[in-house]
Amino acid sequence: MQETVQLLVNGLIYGSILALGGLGISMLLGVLKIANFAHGDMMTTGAYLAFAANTVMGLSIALSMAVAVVGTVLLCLLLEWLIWQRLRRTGAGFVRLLLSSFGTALVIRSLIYLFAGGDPRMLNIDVFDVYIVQGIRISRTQVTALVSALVVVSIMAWVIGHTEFGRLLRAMSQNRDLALLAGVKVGRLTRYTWVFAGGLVAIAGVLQASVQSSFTPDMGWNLVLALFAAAVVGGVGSAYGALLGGLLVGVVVEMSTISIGGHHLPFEYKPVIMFGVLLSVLWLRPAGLLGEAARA
Amino acid sequence: MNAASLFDLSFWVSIGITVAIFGILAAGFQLQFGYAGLMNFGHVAFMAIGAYTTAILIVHAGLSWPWAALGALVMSMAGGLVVVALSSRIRLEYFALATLAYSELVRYLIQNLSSVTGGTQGTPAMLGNQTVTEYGTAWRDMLTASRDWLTDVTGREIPVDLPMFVVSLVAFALVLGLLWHLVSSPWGLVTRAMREDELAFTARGYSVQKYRLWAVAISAGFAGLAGVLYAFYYLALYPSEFDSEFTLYAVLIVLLGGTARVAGVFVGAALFGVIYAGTRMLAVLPITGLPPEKFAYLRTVVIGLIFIVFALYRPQGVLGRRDEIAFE
Repeated sequence: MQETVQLLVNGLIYGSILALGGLGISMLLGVLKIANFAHGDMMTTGAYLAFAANTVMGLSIALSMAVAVVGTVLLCLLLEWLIWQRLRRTGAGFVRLLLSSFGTALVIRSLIYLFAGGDPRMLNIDVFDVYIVQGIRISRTQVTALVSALVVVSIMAWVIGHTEFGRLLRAMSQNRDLALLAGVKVGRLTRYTWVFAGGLVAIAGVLQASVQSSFTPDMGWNLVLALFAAAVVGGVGSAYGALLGGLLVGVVVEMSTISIGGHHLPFEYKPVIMFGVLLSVLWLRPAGLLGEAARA
Repeated sequence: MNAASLFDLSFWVSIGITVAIFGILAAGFQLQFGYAGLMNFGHVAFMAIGAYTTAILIVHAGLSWPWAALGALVMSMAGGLVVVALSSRIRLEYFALATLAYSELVRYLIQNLSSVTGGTQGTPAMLGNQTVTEYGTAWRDMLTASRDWLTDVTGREIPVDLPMFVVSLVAFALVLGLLWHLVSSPWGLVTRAMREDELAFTARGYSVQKYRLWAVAISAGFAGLAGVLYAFYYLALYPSEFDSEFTLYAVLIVLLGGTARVAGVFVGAALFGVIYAGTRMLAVLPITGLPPEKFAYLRTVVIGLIFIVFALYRPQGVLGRRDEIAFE
């Protein structure tokens, strides 16, 4: 029982971080029709910016988080200006967008390797600051991660569902040209989409970096398929969907190693389970649990 | 590596082998993507299956290398069935994602089934940590014998890898010839029609599944052959090698050379060789001031930039035709 609850808690924490990153992927896919394989590396960018601010410059962790968010958002806007808007102007289809997103991912990751090196890094956080409730271990960083992820995703869900901005965003995701025709400022809205996606994934990156205690430039790339899983399981374009998808993927992956009658699946199989979940969801329910169709 | 080695034949022989192996891999990607219109971002999975099946059949089943290589090709083609099945249900946007997940799944399975594959410690640990297992002894002895024979005949120093170089280049030429034969046949024409318009294709009474099945199976066979050659060139395999970077090499070659062009694979592979050798050559120039272990990242920066620039300005590649891509 204790093991079950512990795994459930771990799953919820992992899942809430996936939800934060997955929501950005879901927005980019829904609104801009970009499958952003560089999103994981945006996450890494956030983590390394926070590392620079926190460990190198000695800023507090909250300020470092702010640095990470601002820096990652600026990077997203730079890429929108340099690459994405040009591609859109020449009427690029899905494959060209896909190639650029893979290229961007490769460039960002390699640059982080070149500048920061491949050694494992740590944020200046006490990971041993642990609460033990009825034998369940949960650290302060984990509580912070879980709570901030839930709060941020709920705010985003409210923004998309109930504000004027959200209404325009939904209009644009339905049909960009018609939205333009109706007087929606699509260029500005596109930049806001990047601001949100970049900000969310930077937060996810800093949280993930603090939860897993040490990280390398591969951190985000290793998580990008899990982020896509969160977005696709929940259904593209839905904030609560991303939250549900993230938590579900997180819990399923963590709970997969639960022991039954003294035996359990080796921990190394967690990635296999994750890819299995992603493939089965794409296979069984291409539309996601809450969302538009992905079916051929 | 120092400046003198740039004029060393063995350096260029090793570059040539790499170019041929990834050229064969890219020929498979060309058939799937350029001709059949399938953006398979998990292409490396077939190469991994081919390489590991070779090692497993030799060590665990005791087969001789030609039978193991044949078995490897069959297994790679069987691995293609999964991709065909995925393509039948998932549309293009999610197909790249699904195939990438498939290749990672294959890689982690290879890593985790350590009693068969040696796990993270690679094929040297296939029969446990206590012994160093080699699967390529017979192959290596054969190549060494042919090198000795060449030395006797010519009376000159022959680079160690020259026989492997010849084998890989011949295999690359055969693959390109087969690809040329396939795509200029009626089958190739019909496959291109499928890429252009699936609805019209089906309406004419052709089966999308049947044509996809063969396109993917044959390209998986090419990738499997690349895996077999890779296994025999390096003589030890590690699961971490078969990550998405190899797929990106194949995509890069097709992108550089041109989509839906057989000659594009050759040109792309040659350009890939220039990039591959070039980023290693930078190591001998003092201007960069980078430690040698970082040059691999310089290479990936260059490859990433090429992806972006070609996607922006010339998605059909150097030799490709713009109207012959499933891009827009």
